[in-house]
Amino acid sequence: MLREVLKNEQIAHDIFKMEMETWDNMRSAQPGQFMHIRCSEFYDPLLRRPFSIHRLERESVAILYKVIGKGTAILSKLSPGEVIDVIGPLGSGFNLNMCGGLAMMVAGGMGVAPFVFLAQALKLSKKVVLIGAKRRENLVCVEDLKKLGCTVEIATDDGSCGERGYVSKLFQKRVGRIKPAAVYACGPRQMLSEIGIISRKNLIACQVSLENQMGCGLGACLGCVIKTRKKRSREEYSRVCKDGPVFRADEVLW
Amino acid sequence: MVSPELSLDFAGIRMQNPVMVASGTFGFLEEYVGHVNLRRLGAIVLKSVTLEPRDGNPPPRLAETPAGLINAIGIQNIGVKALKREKIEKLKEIGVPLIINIWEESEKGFLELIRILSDTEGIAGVELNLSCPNVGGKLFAQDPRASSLLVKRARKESRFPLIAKLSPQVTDIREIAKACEDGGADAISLINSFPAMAIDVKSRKPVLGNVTGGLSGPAIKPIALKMVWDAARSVKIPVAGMGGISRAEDAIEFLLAGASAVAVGTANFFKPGVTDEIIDGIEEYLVRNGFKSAGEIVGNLNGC
Repeated sequence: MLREVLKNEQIAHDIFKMEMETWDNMRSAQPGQFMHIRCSEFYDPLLRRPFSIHRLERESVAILYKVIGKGTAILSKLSPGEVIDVIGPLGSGFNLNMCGGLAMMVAGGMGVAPFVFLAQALKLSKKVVLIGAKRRENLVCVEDLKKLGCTVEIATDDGSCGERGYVSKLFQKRVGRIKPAAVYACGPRQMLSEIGIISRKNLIACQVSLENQMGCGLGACLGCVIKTRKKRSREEYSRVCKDGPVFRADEVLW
Repeated sequence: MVSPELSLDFAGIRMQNPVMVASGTFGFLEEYVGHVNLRRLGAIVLKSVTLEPRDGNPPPRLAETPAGLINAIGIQNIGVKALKREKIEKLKEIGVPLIINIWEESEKGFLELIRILSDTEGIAGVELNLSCPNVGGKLFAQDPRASSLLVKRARKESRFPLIAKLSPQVTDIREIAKACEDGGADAISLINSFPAMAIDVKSRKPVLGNVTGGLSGPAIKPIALKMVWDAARSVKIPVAGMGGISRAEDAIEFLLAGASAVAVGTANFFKPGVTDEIIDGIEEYLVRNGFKSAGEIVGNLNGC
């Protein structure tokens, strides 16, 4: 469907936030779900691009995106008033049930995108967000998350903000002390795998939000599969667009 | 003003319009509910089904190219028994002709599949996938004799209309088309995707887990169109044309080239409502040009 672009702002070097008018189905979206956006009116790029739902308001919905290729470059040039072709909400969302405990979100780089929506949904819960970025210039959403009641801690590769080092190292340090009821992670695969391992060692359920190149985005073409294994079951291929993008970390075969 | 007649009889299958969805691009349909008006389709061709469930190829399974897509899915599917048990009932409810696409490595396998499907209610036809490039080995569709023999034996086993799906990777499509007609195929469908590959120069590895895949999408349309034109002029049985159809005009080109029906595949990925758009577009074209039925434009090229 076609939606009007309301805002499209650069919020950091090569990172943009786009707000568009919302729609009926989107109003019942779950954090962790995504939308599938057609970037070109023609055939290059051919396929849609998936973006996590970043933030949901009464009249608008927003995505956060980094310009890394042709499709995202086209998106970055859209102006308010122009229309965008979107499908959504799609995929599985985060399981929000934490029985009143503390939610710990671990974000690697652009992985922070779905956590603003998650923080909105976890209004009444205690929330800690650990964000990892290459350097301070790449950090986004910190203030948004704080305003939504999250305690935010930062790790940068170069130490220009917060702790020096990877966010997984920061997570390892904090998880034992903070003892979250649930861990939510989103970011590069390597990071997700590590967060999953550390969570398991600490006996905490960890959900990861994966990204993958997608074909149809609806679960029909089987193009976006990853290897998974449910408990006491055989290895199988699961669709990131339909069985995911949220998976239990211990079910993903990294 | 009477609306033009879009319905047709395709190889004994009654279709309300010439627009089908192509095998492999529509899953088993539930995924598209809410995104596509399924009841409006001329026919639905399901993803290839095999005797046993198959996991398919290791990822990555997709490589996008300008105006195209290389896929190496590898016929991941639940197997014919599960299809019969779990999916056919629901699919019948849509009320649109259902064509089951089948694949196996051997002729014996194809025939076994047909036998297993022979008692299934609700199937309008069987499409023989002689041409998937993602499952290794030489294709039936590259060998006129093997194709003809397989079709002949399948014809004996099958009470359903048989459609032979052809590969573009052949020296002369007319030869294969004729061989399938001689074997007794009720129709042919072409083209399947074109063998292709992509390489990641950073990692110096093939992009696809399977190394090679099949190219589809607008990029292959000119190749597909020419093959449909060649094939349609060399057989009397009806031809379903496909390959890069992404809008009404594309579909009309295939009809003019001699296809009496068309299938839309890859375009469903980036435009889930594309089949509606194409059905409407064909109708508008017929009205605008004074044709009373879709049949009137099939093979109706001026000066050819």
